[in-house]
Amino acid sequence: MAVATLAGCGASGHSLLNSEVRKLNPSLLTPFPFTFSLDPLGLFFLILICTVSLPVALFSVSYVKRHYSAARQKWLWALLFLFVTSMAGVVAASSGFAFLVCWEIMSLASAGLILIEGSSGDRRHNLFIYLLMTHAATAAVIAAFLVFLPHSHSLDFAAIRAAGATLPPGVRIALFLLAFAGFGTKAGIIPLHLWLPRAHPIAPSPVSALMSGVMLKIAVYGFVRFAFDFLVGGPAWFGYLVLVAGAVSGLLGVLYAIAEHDLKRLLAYHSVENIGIIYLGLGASLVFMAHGARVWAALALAGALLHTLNHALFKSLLFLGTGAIADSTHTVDLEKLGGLQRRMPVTGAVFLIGCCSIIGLPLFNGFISEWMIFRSFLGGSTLTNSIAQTLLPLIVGVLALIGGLAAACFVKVFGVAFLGRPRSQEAEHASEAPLAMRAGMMLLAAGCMVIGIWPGAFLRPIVSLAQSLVGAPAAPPETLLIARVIPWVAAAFLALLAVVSVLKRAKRQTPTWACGLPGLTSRMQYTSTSFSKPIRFVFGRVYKADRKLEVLPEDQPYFPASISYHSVRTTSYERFLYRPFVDGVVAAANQLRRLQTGNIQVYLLYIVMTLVSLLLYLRLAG
Amino acid sequence: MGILETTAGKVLSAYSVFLFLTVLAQAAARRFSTNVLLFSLQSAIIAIQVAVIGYHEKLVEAYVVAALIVLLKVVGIPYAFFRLIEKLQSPREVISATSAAESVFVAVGIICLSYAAVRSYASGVHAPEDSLAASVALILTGAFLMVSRRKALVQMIGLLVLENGIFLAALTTTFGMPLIIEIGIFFDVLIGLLLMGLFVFRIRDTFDHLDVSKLRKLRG
Repeated sequence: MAVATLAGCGASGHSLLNSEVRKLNPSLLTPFPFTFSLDPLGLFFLILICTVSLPVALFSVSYVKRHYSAARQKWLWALLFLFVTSMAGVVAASSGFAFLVCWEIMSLASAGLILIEGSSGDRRHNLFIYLLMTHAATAAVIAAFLVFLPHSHSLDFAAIRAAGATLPPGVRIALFLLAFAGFGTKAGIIPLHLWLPRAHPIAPSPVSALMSGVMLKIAVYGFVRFAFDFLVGGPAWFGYLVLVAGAVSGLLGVLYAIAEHDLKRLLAYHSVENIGIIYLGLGASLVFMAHGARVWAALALAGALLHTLNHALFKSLLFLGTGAIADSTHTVDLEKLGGLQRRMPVTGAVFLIGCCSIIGLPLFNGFISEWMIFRSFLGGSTLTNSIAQTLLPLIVGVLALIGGLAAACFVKVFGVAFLGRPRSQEAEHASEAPLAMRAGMMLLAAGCMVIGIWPGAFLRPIVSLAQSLVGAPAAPPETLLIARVIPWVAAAFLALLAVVSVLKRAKRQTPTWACGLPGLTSRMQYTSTSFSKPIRFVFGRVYKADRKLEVLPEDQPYFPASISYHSVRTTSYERFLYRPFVDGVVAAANQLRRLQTGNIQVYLLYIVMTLVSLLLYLRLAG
Repeated sequence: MGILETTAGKVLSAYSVFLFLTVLAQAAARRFSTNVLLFSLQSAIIAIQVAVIGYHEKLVEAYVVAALIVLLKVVGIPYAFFRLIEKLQSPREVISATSAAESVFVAVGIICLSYAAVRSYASGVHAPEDSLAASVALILTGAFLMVSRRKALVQMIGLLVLENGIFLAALTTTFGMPLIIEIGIFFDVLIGLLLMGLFVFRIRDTFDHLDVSKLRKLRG
């Protein structure tokens, strides 16, 4: 697998440099046009898939060996290979049929990978929800292709692209909404995200890394392909719709993440948040396109694409880090971790890099892309349309809030998991991850650092890709600026670091003051829940928490023997959005069930009625 | 349209009237044995039609087909039915969801619909309109018998009437199919009948009656 991915990396890198289009056409074997070819957009995503898959595969080499029996290992590797290959197939497809086949294999392979970890009732329930939603998404995508068919007469991408320019407005809107809902479900924008925090935590860690890091990006790819390549933008409200979806996903995603203390669920919610940021960029780009500001559109789209790549890198890094923690402590519950930095120094260091990247600190890759998206929103004030002129700069506030909350969240994660004292026996006896796992994580961390410090090399192809997608006449000057400034900032920072370390005074070691109490225990530390309490308090309305305080025995409220406090966040989406829908479907199905009487005569009657009505139709039509 | 075809068409039309009569009678029939006899009569009419066409078209094969119809549908199948009735010893009355009068009304409606449906089509293929309408009426009446009658045995008769209709439709539109296909169709009917007979026995053995409306308990 590693060799294959390497080969894929090499091939895609080679063709990106030569900007030639390779074509593969096995249509002779299939009844439908089943063709593959790589254009720059597909290539960018193929590179993303390969660069993330390779370290993940490396990580898996030792992870899989330590966790699964030989038979399951074989299944896992086979499915993992199928999963990655199908994702590559999706981005390389150049006909709707090939796209859909690979898309479906991708969904099923990921479901199979989740099942490898176990198949208890609870897991099956979560998996069912994942499969249900992913197939609803696929249905929308299939519908989108079928809507194109009468106008393009072929599912070939070239024909679709040619038809995209001349579509009637109604069809255009239907297509955009179908693509938005279909790919949005797969990408996990709120409120279509329901499957995401359920499916990711139950997958094996390397698989979570691939699902969160790469599979969601395939959905972004699909959306970009439809909205930018096929439809070439549209009215401004397309963009505003995407903007609102992005803002809601980003904000709620990070707020839900803060309240989580299961590390994997927390990261899953952060995926929702980052997809939100990507959608913010895409939405801004669509708005700019609608108003004719194509250079700004290129900047926003380039920011979104770069953030896609960045998120793939740091999110898979964080999931792998979680895998390493789970591997040595057998838990991903933040309340049971602590003090891991001393016990797992390398994992801690790379995890810290991942944290810094995801919250967008300068000199890490998240900063570059988020800055570009920020900058494009500020550029909204140059537009002549008054709505866009006021609205776009205001979204900067949303982005800033998302960034701040994400920072709080990852301070919590890193502080609780890696600093302080261990909160359980398992954390106390944690040990460093094996070499292959460390190597996989370090490769990803290196990727984050390189993009963060030397963005110029990565920005050039991405900006030219964005330029060609939105039809911008020139590259946005901001990208050149940041590409030029960041390395100098890095150099200055390193110099400062060197100066500080030279001038550092001798260390003074004293015991930590424990407020006069004898000795420190792990119970004195901030817990994950207590750290996030202020934020949860401020945003209380978002969470709708069910609190329960139990004091035992009840007749002695001031001198209780035990106090227990539960705070359960209710998922209002299920209650208010999905439950009525599901109930409606079930009620409709029950009504339909009346047709199914089990009576032979009634079935025969159906046939006769059909015959008679057809005859009547024939009479009336003739 | 040649003179022979016209003559054949006239014969087909004339005998179609008899077929409509059997249809109405079958709808009204209260006893199972009457139904079987009517089916036999119906098949005899069709056999005559086949023979007449054979005479006009100078087709020896058509005589073979007519002989087969007489052997199987006029004599063989009704005989088998009477044996079946004796063996099963189930009540002779047909239990119907609709009364005799209602059934006749439905049959009349079916005949009207048949004429209405084939009107535009008949002129297109130079087929005699009456005969085509009779075939459609037979198909629909067969289906109606299967829908409205409770007993599995009457449903078998319904299927046979339906098959007669299909046969007649093929006859009127093509003036006779190749012999091998006709024989194939006969085998089809025979095998179908055999299977249904088997199932009727199984139904009776399992449920002690032949009322298929009770089968709905099998629904999951």
